[in-house]
Amino acid sequence: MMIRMQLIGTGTTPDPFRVDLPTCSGGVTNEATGRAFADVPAVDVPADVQAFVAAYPTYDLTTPLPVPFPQSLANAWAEHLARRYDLGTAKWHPVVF
Amino acid sequence: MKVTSYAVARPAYYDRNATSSYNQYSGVVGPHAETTRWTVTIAAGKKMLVEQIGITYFNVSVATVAGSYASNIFIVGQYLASQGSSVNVVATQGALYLTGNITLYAGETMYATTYNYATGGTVAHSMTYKATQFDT
Repeated sequence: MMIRMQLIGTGTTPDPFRVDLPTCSGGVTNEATGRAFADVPAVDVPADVQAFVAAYPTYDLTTPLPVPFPQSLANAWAEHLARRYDLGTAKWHPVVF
Repeated sequence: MKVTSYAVARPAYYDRNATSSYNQYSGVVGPHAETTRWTVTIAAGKKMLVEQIGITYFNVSVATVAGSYASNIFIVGQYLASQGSSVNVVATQGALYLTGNITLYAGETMYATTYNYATGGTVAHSMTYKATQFDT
């Protein structure tokens, strides 16, 4: 599923611009606004995060979301990925942005 | 006396709940810092056998100031393959296709990046792979 994500990284070889997810594709980015569209496997996205994405559709890489991504959903997403990839919650902290 | 063995050979990897894994990025883009275009991380309880990767670049339009540009695939944080140039001539191109048996284990990552440090101009980048993911 397509999700507009927050970009992280500095654009260098050890730290390229990227979205903070274990598996995704797309790679359409806007470094100026810090946003990117990413195609994320649905199995990596909890149902409540999918509901948030459906409730607030995005059409460009500039217009801010009408409401910020809730911290509770961010925490739930990180824990979901930690379980699925068994690498702990320190690894990924994706944010819909 | 009849002796019967119940030992059963372990199924081959492609018979262990195997699924194809593939990804492709193709884009014609101007100058940009190094950017990840796709990434794949192996989930718990899985392995992935990388069967083929492909990397290309093609200079589409000339830059006003030349700079290096490249298409890359990293595996476990190290370059697996890279193709690039700093030649500022339209149709400058490179391609690399690898076929092999590279195994990624749970938690390991493969990702593709591009960069273009020229001023102006555009380059077409493509990075792709085909793999099989299966139960450990």
